[in-house]
Amino acid sequence: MNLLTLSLAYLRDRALNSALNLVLLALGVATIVLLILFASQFEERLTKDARGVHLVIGAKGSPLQLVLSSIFHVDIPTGNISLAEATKISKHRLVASAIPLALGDAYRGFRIVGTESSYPASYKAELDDGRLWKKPFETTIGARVMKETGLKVGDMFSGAHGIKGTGKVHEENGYRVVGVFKRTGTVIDRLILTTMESVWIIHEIKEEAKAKGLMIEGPPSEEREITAMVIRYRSPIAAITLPRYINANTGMQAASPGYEIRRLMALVGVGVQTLQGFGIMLIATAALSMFIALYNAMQNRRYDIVIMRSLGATRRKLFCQILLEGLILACAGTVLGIVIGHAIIELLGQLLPQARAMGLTGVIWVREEWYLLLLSGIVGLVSAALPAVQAYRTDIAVTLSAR
Amino acid sequence: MSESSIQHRYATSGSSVVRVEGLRHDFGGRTILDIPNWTAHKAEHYLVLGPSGSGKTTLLNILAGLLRPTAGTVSVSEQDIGSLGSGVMDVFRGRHIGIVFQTLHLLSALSVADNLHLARYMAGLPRQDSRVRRVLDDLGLRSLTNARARALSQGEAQRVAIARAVINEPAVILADEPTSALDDANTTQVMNLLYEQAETCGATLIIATHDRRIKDRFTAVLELGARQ
Repeated sequence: MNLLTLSLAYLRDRALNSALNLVLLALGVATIVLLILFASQFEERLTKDARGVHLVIGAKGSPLQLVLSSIFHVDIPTGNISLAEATKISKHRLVASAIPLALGDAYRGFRIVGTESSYPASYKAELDDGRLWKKPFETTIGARVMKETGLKVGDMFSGAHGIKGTGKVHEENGYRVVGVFKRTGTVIDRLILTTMESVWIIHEIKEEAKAKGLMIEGPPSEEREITAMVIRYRSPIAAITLPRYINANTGMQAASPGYEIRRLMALVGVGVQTLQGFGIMLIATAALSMFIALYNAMQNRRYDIVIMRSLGATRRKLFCQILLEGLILACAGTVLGIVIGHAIIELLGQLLPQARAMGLTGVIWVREEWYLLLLSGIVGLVSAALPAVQAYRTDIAVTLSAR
Repeated sequence: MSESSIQHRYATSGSSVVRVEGLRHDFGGRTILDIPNWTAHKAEHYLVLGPSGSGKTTLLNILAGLLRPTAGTVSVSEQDIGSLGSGVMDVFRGRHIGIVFQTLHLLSALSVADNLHLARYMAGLPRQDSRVRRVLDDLGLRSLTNARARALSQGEAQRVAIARAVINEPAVILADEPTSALDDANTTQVMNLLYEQAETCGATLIIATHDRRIKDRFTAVLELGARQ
């Protein structure tokens, strides 16, 4: 028997009420943990995928859509641009590097991207098995693609039209896996990389060229199109001049990933903040509910306090005991909430395709969660403070004679 | 003063266990208690008699150090309890004074055994399962060891209250109307047990009552007069 077991006994004594407060607090904490985990991984994911990309060039349309489709590979592309026109930009003196991307097909939800070997290099992707693609219809696949589709080096597969991979299957053109990348934690993990020619061959010359027996070459170079081009600047000045030049003087559009991500986070941020406010409201409700429960319990426990004092308990001991009750409940609620929050995120990451694509995981610890633990400690202490003071101040003789 | 020094200096008391000198207590501008001189000796038992409002409960509260008198000194086990600070007094009380209340008995959130363990813990004494078991056995409460305190009958609860009062082997047991809520059979049993337990631990029993059923047992009586 000590203060801890005594506090637990009292919490157990009003089990229903304790459970209610525990659940209230846990829900509030879980809501906030959910948001913290989601926002941190979302933002980390975005910045990681956009690292090293200063500008994206693509067809006119929504700049956000262009960034989402060609950097994060989540939205549909805005359209196609002429390879010749894009190449002209890549030779601009302010451009350090330019990587073309050709999208269009997918295999079981993973996009097939026609590009150059500099693309995985820009994400520092290393080979786990096999080699990089060289010839048309050779592919090197990301770690996640391998894990979920079971493809391995030497396997053949057919891409389906559309970025979801649910459209018409191009059965006549089989891809072959020649290599697998190690896990990078970036968008590369869920891409299937191949040559630009593969994509051109499938989409451009299918009908007429096939009839003429032309195959491997693809369309004549002046007609070739790509989906987008990602660019690195040579100097910061480019950020001022290059986008304006492209948007004004060409039929293409230039979008800055950094700017678009900030815009997106601002939009998402409103929702996150609203939900966060909701979570804080839940925690405040839990604190109030805990306070009321303890305060009411104090009315019934005045005699208990007298008895404990008569047994030799000092005022300070009783004060601590009541604080401990609040603290135990608050900490238990917070730990429960953190566990629930992590479990939900992990579950979402496993079950939701979009969350899976993001690589969402519940098995991480974010620094903000320490603050949450601290906050819960404060909530517990504050809600128990007044009842504890009441216990401290209880006058034994008065309470005895008032019975 | 530290807890241990109290015990060291006063635990082995002389023959006077409780000594009251020039005690007066005023409440609401009236003197409700006035005892010039009174001494209770070791292992003797005393009855405090008097009509309602004569200050019986007030006297017990003062003897227990739960209430500070307006004037006068009270010594328990030769310790002037008026000189002890609040926290030290609480611990002193836990070790040297056992209290049986009239109706407020037990901590209802705890089991019978835990009520006794708590008494030792609050007095700063080490946990002692054997002592708790023996006291429960002595009072015929063994079968109720793990029962919830709130599930007990009046008589059982009062027996547990006695067990708790004696668990720390106090020098004095103060009982305030311990039988007023009990029927004749329970009264006899409770009084027998109080007596036995006081004898077992060599404690001085001081009982405030107006219950005529228990008067015969006592030879030493402190009579408090009715006041206007």
